[in-house]
Amino acid sequence: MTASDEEVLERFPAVRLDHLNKLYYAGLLRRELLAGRCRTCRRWHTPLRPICPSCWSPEVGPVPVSGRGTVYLLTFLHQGPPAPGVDYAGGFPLAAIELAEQAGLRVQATVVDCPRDRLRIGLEVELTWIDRAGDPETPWPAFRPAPDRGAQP
Amino acid sequence: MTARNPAKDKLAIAGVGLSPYARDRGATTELAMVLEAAVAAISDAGLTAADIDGVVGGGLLTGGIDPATVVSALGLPAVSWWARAAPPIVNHLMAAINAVWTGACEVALVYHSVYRVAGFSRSAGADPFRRRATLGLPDGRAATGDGHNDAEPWSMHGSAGYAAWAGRYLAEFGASREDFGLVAINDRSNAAANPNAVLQEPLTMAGYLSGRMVREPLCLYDMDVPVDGADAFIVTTTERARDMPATPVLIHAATMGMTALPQEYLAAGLDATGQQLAARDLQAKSDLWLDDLDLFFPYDGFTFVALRCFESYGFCGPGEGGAFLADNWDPVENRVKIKGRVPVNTHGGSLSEGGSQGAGHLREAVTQLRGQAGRRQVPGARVGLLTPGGFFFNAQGLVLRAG
Repeated sequence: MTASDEEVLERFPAVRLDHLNKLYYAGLLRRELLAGRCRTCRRWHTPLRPICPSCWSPEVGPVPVSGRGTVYLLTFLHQGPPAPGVDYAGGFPLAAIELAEQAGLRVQATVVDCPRDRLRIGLEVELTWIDRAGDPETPWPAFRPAPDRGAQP
Repeated sequence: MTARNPAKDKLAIAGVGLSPYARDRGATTELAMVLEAAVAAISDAGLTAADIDGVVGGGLLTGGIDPATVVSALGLPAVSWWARAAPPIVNHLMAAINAVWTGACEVALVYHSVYRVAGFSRSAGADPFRRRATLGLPDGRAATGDGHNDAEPWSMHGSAGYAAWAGRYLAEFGASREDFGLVAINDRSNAAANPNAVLQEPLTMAGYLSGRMVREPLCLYDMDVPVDGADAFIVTTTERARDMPATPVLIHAATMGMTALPQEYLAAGLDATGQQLAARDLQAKSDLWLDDLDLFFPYDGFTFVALRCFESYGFCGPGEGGAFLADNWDPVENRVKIKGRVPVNTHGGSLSEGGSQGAGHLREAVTQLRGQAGRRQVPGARVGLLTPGGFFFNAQGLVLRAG
């Protein structure tokens, strides 16, 4: 069930919400990671856009992604703004995940449940959900190693 | 993209002014620094308030000072064009170039400021007025218009994005952190001769490698140093500049580059960024290129960006930046001299003079091309290449020549 505008506004008080990205955040509350998809040319895009960046069709809308992907970019943050549940001491991983749906389709997220020596560019991952704000009712997307798969060189 | 460049050498920088850089200028305001630099630049050009009919400027952290405030505070009596510009500095400069070229104004004051604010600089957080300096301002994420390009640590907007691409660079090319370190050491060696540089003590490779890790693989010494300070420039026609006291520095070619994927996390690859577009466009517009240079100012807000400047502009191939620096290293001077001749970031760059989004690079290039750089002076310097900005939404290029 999709959250009301009021509920999205209440759950994400620090986000610059608007009439488009509210759909993405409402998706998070349903534990769905959404990307934009064009019904005309079938291309995907992130973040959500009002028209298709590939063909300019207005026939675009948010569609859940499979959550499968690979680590494309990766940094470890050793300092940063204080955030609940974020420990910078060992380096907090922040990745760009290339999603399986389409080459170049990426989202930004942390990676969890992965030993440091295994976490590297090319690692196959899958979507999971974490508690970002100390509020288990407000899920936040993260990725973890895909089962039974190793790093791709 | 076009090779058309009708303004080539027709416009010039006729004045420069500095409000000195410091790690902490203390109880001053951003406006005070802008005015100090502006008055110095206008005086340097032998002009008065009545001569300035164009104004353009802006800064990074607070957005900078609005042109109307500068016009008012300087009492400029008759201004016919003004604009606000987002850093890096070629944005400001190209706005002025375009305005003078079209006749929107005759003499443009260009200004850029950096004012440390809470949240960006830890020490600035101790000043309650610097905590107040960002009141009501949108954050960087909001400024991009992308509501779910969230702030650190959940998004790689800005520094974290460069760190992530630096990591990919190391993985893709088998490069090492020592390659980044050469950029930092070169800057520091140059800074020793620049009184405006805030970091002057020599840096060794061991020292670089022991730097505190900030955003892996980038450490403290890979990132530009936060400062307070401001720069100002006077842009007018070359014809008019020749009647002014300072030797004019001619604007030969200028460009900016952006692809359809200007977000750090979406860029198609290191070889498909605005930096490549800027390099290609600048080369098409310029009669002067790498073999003609006496000065090179690769942008070094991060060491990794400077390394990629060498590669994107064709000094060497992709992944060869570190080897290129090592091959062109002058061991006596402990700095880069391309082909034994061309020094790089003679003022110490963003990493050692202070991070000012290319404004420091531009001031130093003008100073060198006028022959006024004192003990840093590159003898007979006539041509300089500057590549301000990073890869994604702010890549820029500029060729200057002595007038």
